[in-house]
Amino acid sequence: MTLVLVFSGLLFAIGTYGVLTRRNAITLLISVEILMNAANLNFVAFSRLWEPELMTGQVFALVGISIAACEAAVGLALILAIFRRFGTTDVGRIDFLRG
Amino acid sequence: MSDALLVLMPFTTLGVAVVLLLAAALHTRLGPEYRAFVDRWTGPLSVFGVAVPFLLALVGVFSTGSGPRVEALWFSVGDLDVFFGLRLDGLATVMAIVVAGVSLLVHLFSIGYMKGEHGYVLYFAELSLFSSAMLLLVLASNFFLLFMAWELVGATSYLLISFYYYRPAAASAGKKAFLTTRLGDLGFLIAIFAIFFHLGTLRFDEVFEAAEAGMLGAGWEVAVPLLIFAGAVGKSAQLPLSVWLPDAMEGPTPVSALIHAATMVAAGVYLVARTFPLFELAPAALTVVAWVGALTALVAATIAVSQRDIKRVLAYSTISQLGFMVTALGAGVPEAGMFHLFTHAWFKALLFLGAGSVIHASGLHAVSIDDVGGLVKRMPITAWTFVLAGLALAGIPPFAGFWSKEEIFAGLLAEEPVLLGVLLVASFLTAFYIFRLIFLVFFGPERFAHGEVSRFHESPTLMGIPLLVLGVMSVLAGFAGVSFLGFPLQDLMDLEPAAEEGHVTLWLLALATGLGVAGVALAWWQYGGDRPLEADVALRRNLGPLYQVSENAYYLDPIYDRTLIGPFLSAAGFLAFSVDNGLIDGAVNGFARLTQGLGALFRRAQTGLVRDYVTGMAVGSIILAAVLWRVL
Repeated sequence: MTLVLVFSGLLFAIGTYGVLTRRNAITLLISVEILMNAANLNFVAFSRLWEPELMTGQVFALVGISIAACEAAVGLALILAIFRRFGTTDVGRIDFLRG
Repeated sequence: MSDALLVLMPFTTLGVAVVLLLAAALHTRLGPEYRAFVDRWTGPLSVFGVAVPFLLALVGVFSTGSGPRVEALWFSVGDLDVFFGLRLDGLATVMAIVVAGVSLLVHLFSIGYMKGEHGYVLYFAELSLFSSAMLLLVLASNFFLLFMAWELVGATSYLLISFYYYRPAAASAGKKAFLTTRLGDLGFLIAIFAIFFHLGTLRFDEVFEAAEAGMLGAGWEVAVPLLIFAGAVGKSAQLPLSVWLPDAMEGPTPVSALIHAATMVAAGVYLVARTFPLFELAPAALTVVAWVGALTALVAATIAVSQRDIKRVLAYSTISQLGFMVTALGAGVPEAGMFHLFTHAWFKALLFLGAGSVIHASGLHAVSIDDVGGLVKRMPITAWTFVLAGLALAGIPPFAGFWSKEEIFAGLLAEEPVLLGVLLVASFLTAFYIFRLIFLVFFGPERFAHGEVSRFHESPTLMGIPLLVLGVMSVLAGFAGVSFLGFPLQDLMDLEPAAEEGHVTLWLLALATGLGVAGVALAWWQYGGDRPLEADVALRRNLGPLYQVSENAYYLDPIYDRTLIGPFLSAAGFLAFSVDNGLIDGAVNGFARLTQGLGALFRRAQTGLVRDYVTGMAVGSIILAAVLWRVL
């Protein structure tokens, strides 16, 4: 159990690091996917720990995966649009919304 | 006369006014042949519009009892039922004959006078509108309708005074007239509020009945008549609100004849006579009325003796004569005041129309005694009818003004010897100033300061007829109210006098006539020679400061400018430039600037970079997690 939690914590840390440091939008998106998987892992783990006969955590994980798929599709579409508009996927150079 | 016909009196004129307003509005869009058609029929149509009420008013003389009346519920608000009520009793009949009669003659005169002027159709539309408002005022049988007509008359007179709106003097004269009379109207309005508050009705009969039963209470019993009188002071140009009438001479001269001689300025006198039962309850109010009238009569007469513009002489003369009427009302002899109103309307309208005839012939906008002289040979009808009216004004028997002034003097004789003395002096001055004008303008050597005197010709027939009719009235109108014919006019009006009926005594007749003749003689002695203008200059030099005071109308206008208008303007300026621009705008702009500054500060947080937002989210999440950790 501890091992699983340590693993999901590690995944979360990697995802956060990626989101904070990467400049490429696609890498950013992949980092977000990693973050979501860390959360999914926790759902399954805690479900097994407290209510093993119910499958609540598993169902949550499945829903989370499908949402991640949607998010990836939308995110990629956005990145495509951003690339067409600005000619780059470097998020450090896209500051169109600066106040 | 049936009641339904009564409605026709104001509304025929109003209908004509509406048609003419439409015609005036469409005038520029019409083709030339239609425009000629409109121009040709405008005059006859508007004459028809006032001829109908005039004939109906004449029929009204023979109606019995309290006269025809119509009344219909107009609208109700809470406890207030407002009626549309018209009533042609004796007092209203006399006034309606004056209003419609003078209006009819002025309309006729205007056809010639205004021919070819800019805004010809509009002029007649406004004139008809004024006449209908005035008839409504005369016929109203409750305070609400009376006040509405009162304000309509004020508004239309504003339009007519400012008819030459492109002249700055005319535009500001209209404003001055409107605002000055509004000051008095405010008092009238407060009086109406008080009447409704205490008596719960606005119909004349019910108001008088309730007031006589003492339902107004001690304070309001005096205050209400005084407040009503404030309205009359404004409209009838009494002191201290007299300053608007001389300026109102900027309007076309027939307008001056109609509004500023016979009808609107007389409306104040009519109002007091109409609400006289309220005045009777308050002797204190009557005393105020009498003194205001007498002072006005004297002051205006002393101003009139030195004015140079023909119409201004007549304007001050009108103020003075209105003062005579108001004095009579205040002395408790309203029928004498109304009798003087009746006679004065005809001969003063004639004087104004005569002045109009001279102005029309001169081609100038205004004519003063410096401009013209000796016109009697070139304009005989104008000159001799003017003399007739002058004799009537001066109170020479047997002309109209003599009889009505005599009635006023007789009413004052018993109880008010001081007022009688004041009016006798004013009467002497009246004879002097009007014959000063007559000798300077119509007699002596022929002269015209702005060109050849040969340009003066008698006015066209259409303008001559009203002059002749009014000339006849100046001679005959007085007989409507003389004792040896049994006071027919007074019987018709059926007013209750508050004072004992005066009796004309022989010595009073002789004194008044003597003063009138003396005034004329003095004028002849001063101005009857070959060099009248030089005589005037000599008089001016000899009298010095006295003449100055008179010529500048007691400096009333500058005094008002200094004491009332000046401080008011600076207060308005302070509010506009310091308070509004500084304080209020400052506060509003300050808030705007504050928002802008804060925005400029916080916009830095909005970098537009995804990384910064994500960092913010991460840091926020960590803080949130830490807080939750503590709490749980």
